[in-house]
Amino acid sequence: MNTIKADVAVIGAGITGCAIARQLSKYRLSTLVIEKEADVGWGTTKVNTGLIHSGYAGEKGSLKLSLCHNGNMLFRKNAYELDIPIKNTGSLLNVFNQSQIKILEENLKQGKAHGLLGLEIISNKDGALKKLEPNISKNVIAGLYAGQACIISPYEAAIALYENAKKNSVRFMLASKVTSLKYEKSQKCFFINIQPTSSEHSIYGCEPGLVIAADYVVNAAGIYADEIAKMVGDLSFEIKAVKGQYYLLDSEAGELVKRPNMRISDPKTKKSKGMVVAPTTGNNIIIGSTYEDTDKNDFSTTKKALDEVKVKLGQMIENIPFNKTITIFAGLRAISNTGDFIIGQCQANKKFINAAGIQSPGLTCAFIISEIISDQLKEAGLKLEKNTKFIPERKRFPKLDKVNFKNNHELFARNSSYGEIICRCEKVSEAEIVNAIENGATTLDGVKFRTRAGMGRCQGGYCTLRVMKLLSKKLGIPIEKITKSGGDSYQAKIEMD
Amino acid sequence: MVKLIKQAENKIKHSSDSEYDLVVIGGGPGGMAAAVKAAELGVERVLLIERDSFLGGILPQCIHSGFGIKIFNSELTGPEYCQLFVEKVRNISIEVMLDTMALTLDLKGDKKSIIVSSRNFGIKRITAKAIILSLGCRERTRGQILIPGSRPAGVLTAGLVQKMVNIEGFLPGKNIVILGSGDIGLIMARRLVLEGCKVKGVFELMPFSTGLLRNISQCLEDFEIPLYLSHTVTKIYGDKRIKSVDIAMVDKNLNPIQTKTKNIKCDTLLLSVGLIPENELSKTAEIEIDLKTGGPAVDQYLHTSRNGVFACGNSLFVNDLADNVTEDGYLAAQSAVSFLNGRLRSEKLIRSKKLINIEAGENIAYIVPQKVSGKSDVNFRIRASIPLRNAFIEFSNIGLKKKVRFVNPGELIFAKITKGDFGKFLECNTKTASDSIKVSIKKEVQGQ
Ligand SMILES: Cc1cc2nc3c(=O)[nH]c(=O)nc-3n(C[C@H](O)[C@H](O)[C@H](O)COP(=O)(O)OP(=O)(O)OC[C@H]3O[C@@H](n4cnc5c(N)ncnc54)[C@H](O)[C@@H]3O)c2cc1C
Ligand SMILES: Cc1cc2nc3c(=O)[nH]c(=O)nc-3n(C[C@H](O)[C@H](O)[C@H](O)COP(=O)(O)OP(=O)(O)OC[C@H]3O[C@@H](n4cnc5c(N)ncnc54)[C@H](O)[C@@H]3O)c2cc1C
Repeated sequence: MNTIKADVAVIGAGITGCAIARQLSKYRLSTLVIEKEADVGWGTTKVNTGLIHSGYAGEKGSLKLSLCHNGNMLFRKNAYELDIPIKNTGSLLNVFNQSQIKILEENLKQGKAHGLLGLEIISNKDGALKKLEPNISKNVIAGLYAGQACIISPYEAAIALYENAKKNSVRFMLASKVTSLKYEKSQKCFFINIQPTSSEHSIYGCEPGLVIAADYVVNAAGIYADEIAKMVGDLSFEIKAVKGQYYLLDSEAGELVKRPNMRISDPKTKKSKGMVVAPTTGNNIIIGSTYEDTDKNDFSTTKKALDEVKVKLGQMIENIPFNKTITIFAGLRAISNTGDFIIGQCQANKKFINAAGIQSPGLTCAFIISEIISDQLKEAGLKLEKNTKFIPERKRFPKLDKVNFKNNHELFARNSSYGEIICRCEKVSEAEIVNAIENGATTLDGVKFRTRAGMGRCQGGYCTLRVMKLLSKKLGIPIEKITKSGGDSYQAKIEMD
Repeated sequence: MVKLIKQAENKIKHSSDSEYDLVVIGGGPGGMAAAVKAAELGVERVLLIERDSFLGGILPQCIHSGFGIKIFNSELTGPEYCQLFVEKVRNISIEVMLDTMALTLDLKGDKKSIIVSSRNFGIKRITAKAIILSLGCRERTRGQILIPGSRPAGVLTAGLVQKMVNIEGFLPGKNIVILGSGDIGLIMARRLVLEGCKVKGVFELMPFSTGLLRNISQCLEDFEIPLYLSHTVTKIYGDKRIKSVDIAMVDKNLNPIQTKTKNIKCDTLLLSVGLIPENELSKTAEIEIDLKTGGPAVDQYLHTSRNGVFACGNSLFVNDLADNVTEDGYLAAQSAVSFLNGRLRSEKLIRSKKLINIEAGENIAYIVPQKVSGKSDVNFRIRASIPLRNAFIEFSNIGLKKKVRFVNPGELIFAKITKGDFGKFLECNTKTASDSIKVSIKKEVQGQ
């Protein structure tokens, strides 16, 4: 049986786990991240609005409220350091009747108390709101504008953190599922059993029966964080999955809205909680989402819920071109029974630290949570010595300039495979795809999330085979072993004679 | 698996000089026909641009027969049909750029220019006096028809699977459900059965098939593959790989009937739910697009709304037969030659008021050309929206009716209107020549 040793094992490579990994790489530690999916950010991190909230909302006294504003500022600072796609759009929270204006006023007050700048209630009476958002409906009477809110690309954020953490010597073990875990008092360390989730486990550095021996464990397992906690006897919380469904519209839907426009939630039913029409950093429009209790493995979309989104958000924004839908998808919120984040040492074992129940605004709070976790580890006895070789910056691999193609001569001069366009819709070149594979993409989705190849309006009709061939060549595995998203998601089943 | 036919190599004469008389974009049957014809008609510098490393567009992956009946008077396979045109391209003085993608058109200045990209030379500007677009089409995807459920692997468009099986040599799965009875779906049903797969059925939303009748009989009936009309997929199951689908019967309004739903196990769902003309490039030059065809609006010369830019093939509208595409390629070439010789003037641009608008009326999905001058004969291509028997096509304002015995959305209808017929319209409408002619398909009333 093979055993790998680490000072800290982080379970889960969502935005939370990746931010923690990168935070820990600032110290001289051996950190190992274990993720069951074939890539980082494929849990909840992949399916959300991508809104970095400004921090006015949330219950008084909750961690969600108290961390959010500082989380926002820390995220923005790190986004520049890590070259995470970000747009300073601001956000709007829109209301439909006079009684709801009171909620806006409360939020404004709460926001100011937390130090937010650029908060303002804008009325739609004199057309001021309409000027800001030309497609806002007449039904909307006012909106709370939050100037510090911005949008980012969530999966690219996870990828950026992963690349930077890796560069600073963090080890990642992907396509590797934690199946059990126990603390061995005699050896003062945790033994974590790992199961590969891919038949091609060697490319992920995993193997059946592998054991990780770690002095400390950080639990960032998203919707499964309660199950991981139970493994060390921490029964103090439960996580339930609450589904949100989205539409993604073609970039042709363009300037439908200039910033995320949220619909005020119905306080009784919570039905319209989290409903928003927002631009994405990739120039698409994202429209969602619902709030439905479900099981942890239910990622299915339903006509009923999507119709509800259509109606509810159609009341807020006019002329939404739903006929420009490229795809529909669903994600799961990890909602703890406390309704708040659960961050810190667990009662059962101080060397086991939870970063659980990370629901919205979890993305916004990723960096601030990572700092709290490293403090907690220190408190639990981990020695944090500065890593003098830490490199904070990470740069995105340059993409072709799609607006002004003349600007691409220099790229081509550097690397001629920039001339070979693999994805016709998003104009992604071979150079970008090869770079994505060299930086950790092992699947079609992995390439897609890094480069946008296959994300456009033909949804991979043109580039799928081309990308599969490049994956096969660069990874050195046969084409029928290439998957869409790890596991048994093969595209090709059998080789013919 | 098929070996790719012997192909044309890159053929570039004057690599330094990138000024052409005519540039044809897209090397499928439409583009090859246009380029060859233009060279035959004496255009000196013709360039054919293709983003793939071979010519032929979708022909090489169509290994079944059924090509060339009109053009070559014999029934050929796609690769054979392709090869005959590749030979023509090789033997005539046309320049060819393979592995080269046209990215944007710039028609603002005096000269038309095309920005292209290739690993061979990077990003480059090419100028042309005239341009023919023959960009083919793309397939509608799952997202566009909004099938609910999970998002596993194994949900693939039929054309992509055709390429996988016929060019790359691997199968998508073993137990197949096909949604949509378009031609590619029908052809692939047979192809996959021949490769040992089990095709559990072809499910079509409409109460009729949108494929060619010959394909229904040769691909489904001959292989005992069931075709279920008025059925659709209502849900997809499976985590990483598709495991099953829910199939429901639909009512008259095409809404699924809950009580008529059943679950079918499968490891692949093939989508053959429609093709859309490829016009990414046309959009970069703000060429007017007809929302009905999804392709550029053209006049009888296949002239688009931009002076000197012509369109043909599946990027103009989706054709069922390559032969028709070839003929349109010829027509586009002839028009481009007239344009180059100064005989097609910009007053005939389709935005011009002097043209007659052609409107798609009752039971017509689309009609091409969308505008005509009325000064020459026009061969209209009409796509019906429903099947009908004993019907007639009515041209309003010129009082013309043409009988058609079988109307089928899978089969393009051709209707020739002569200059004389338009003459009547122009005479009695001298002042309102910009009025439109509405074209409809109606059922013959019994006893008339
Ligand atoms: C619909 C929706 C909209 C949202 N909108 C916003 C927003 O606009 N702004 C915002 O700030 N937040 C938003 N959020 C919240 C935000 O997305 C989450 O808080 C954040 O992504 C949580 O990240 P995470 O890393 O904690 O969890 P995840 O991304 O779920 O990561 C957990 C990881 O652990 C892995 N894992 C689980 N079990 C195991 C195991 N046994 N072994 C190995 N690995 C395991 C999983 O595979 C997963 O990758 C939204 C959430 C949803 C669902
Ligand atoms: C499954 C199937 C079965 C068929 N069966 C028959 C049959 O039995 N008989 C029959 O007659 N017809 C059949 N057809 C129809 C026939 O194949 C098509 O109508 C014909 O190929 C269309 O030709 P095209 O030139 O318009 O497009 P395509 O063949 O698609 O060619 C377009 C070309 O343009 C290139 N291109 C596009 N954009 C760019 C760009 N920006 N830069 C450079 N190059 C570009 C593409 O790479 C492609 O090579 C079938 C079609 C299919 C899909």
